[in-house]
Amino acid sequence: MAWLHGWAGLVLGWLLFAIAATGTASVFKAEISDWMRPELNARVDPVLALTAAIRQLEKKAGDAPAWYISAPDERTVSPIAAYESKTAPNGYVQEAMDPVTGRSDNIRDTLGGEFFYRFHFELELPYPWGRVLASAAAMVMLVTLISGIITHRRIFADFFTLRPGKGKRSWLDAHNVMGVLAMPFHLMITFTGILTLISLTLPWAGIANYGNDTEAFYNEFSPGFYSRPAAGRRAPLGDVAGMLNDARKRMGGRIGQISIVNPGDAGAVVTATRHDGDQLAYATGSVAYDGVTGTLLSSYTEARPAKKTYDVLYGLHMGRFAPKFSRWLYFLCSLALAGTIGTGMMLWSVSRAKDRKPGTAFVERLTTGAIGGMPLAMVAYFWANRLIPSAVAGRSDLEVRSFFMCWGAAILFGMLRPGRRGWSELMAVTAGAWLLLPALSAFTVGRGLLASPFHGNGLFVGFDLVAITLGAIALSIAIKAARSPAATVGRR
Amino acid sequence: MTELSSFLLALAGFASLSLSMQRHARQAESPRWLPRQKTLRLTGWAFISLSLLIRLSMPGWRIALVEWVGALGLAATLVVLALHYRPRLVPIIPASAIALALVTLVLGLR
Repeated sequence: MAWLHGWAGLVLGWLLFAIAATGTASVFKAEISDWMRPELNARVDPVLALTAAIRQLEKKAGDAPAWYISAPDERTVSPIAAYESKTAPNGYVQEAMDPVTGRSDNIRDTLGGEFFYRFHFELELPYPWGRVLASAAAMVMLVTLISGIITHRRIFADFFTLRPGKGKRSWLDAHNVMGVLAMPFHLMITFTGILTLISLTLPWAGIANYGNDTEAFYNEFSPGFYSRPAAGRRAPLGDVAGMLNDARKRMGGRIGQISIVNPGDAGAVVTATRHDGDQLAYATGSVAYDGVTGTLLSSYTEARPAKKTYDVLYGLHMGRFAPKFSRWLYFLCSLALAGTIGTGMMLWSVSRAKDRKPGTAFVERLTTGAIGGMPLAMVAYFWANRLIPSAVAGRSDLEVRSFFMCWGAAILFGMLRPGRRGWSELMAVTAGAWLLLPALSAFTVGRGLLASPFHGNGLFVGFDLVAITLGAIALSIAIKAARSPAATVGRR
Repeated sequence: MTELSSFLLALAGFASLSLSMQRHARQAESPRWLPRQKTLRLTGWAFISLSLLIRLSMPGWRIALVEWVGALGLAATLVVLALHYRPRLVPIIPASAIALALVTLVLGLR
């Protein structure tokens, strides 16, 4: 079992660490998006913001077959619209909109927290390969978790044990403590993570029952999405605000997102979906209206036990329900998962440090850059957001590219400069980048800890505090790696 | 307020449980006035069960259950860190955490 645990963890460990790290950031996806769009500040009633967005979409995207708009809430200020567009490079546009005016030309072009979220399960690879690889990694994760529990014979005896400064022993203790104390979370997030992509990895139930008719499958899977073809006659949208206010009353909660199919056509349909933050389950109900007359077309609340179970498991993974306290718990537990994977990788190299085999050296070198470089790549993404001028074309791609270039550079650096020195220098640079981020942001944007600590910019102040904390952690690792005896981190 | 008092109870529970183990009792230099290890183990489990009961007694038990599991991990982590960096603090944790939990409960019930 120990053999299985070690090797299964090794093969996909680097990838799993990247998935866990970006997943951790995705817990605060909404907050990261707002931080990366500092132009927006006003909080507006969601229905007003949505109608402002619709007015602008009527002007610029009237020919799109459908618009999908997510509603702003207490966590994020801007509605975000997605629609097909022939002029866009990848065939569709996704843009944040000013909640007051609905315009998007005064907002810098960025993916915001969406990038971490997408990378977490698509790995920047073309469909479906990224998702297939991510689910394979999740399955391996489940194998390492279970084999890890079996291998770890002293779960209760060593429950509280942590002995720093003792070389391999300390890495093992840290690995065990982070793994065991957040074990329920680790099992839950891995299992539900596999489930979110289950239609891709286990498609046979759907194929056996529906054959090639995927549309019928999806219609029965989520029957709340009322659809009908365009009528071919032009007709303006009716009172959308009225429909949305009615939807709020019918669903008994907030609106999460709306879709408008066939806008500008007599066959237009306005569908409002319930907000994910109101309950544990992910998508529970929706209401559809005739877009022109405002007549109710369908109102659906999920009641099928199997689908409800799936929605709850999906919701557990997304953690959208989580109020502030548990959102931080999600963050800390995911951080512990990333830490368990990282210390596991270190442990693999440290226990084989005496072998001096080329494979061992390769693993050690790759671990330095692939794992140690991840926090650097993440902070590079934030730096790029503040440094690249808004007018630059393809700005959001440049931000993403700076993430990957930094990660790549760190991996190269780790290959060339392994061992404690490499770790110490890499972590020192990472610490500098995180610690200077608040200053950079204050210079370029304001609205942070340095600019306005007491003026209601809780998000910006909080972001700065997290950046400083992460910088301090990186700094302490840098100092430790530089000072400690060779035994603590794997010897060259 | 039940979130906080439930978390404090879990903290008291884990601190008691850790002190009921020979290795950590030595680490924390357990004072004489502390109950015997068997008693500590029993009260530890009792505090943790109580922290669950408090959390489930309020409406919205589904989300509360998820939160409780997470809070449990946080409480145990704090005990691990305290055992290492402030070991002599650990024997005081149970009583003070219980006292704080009672205060928050009373304030919350008002």
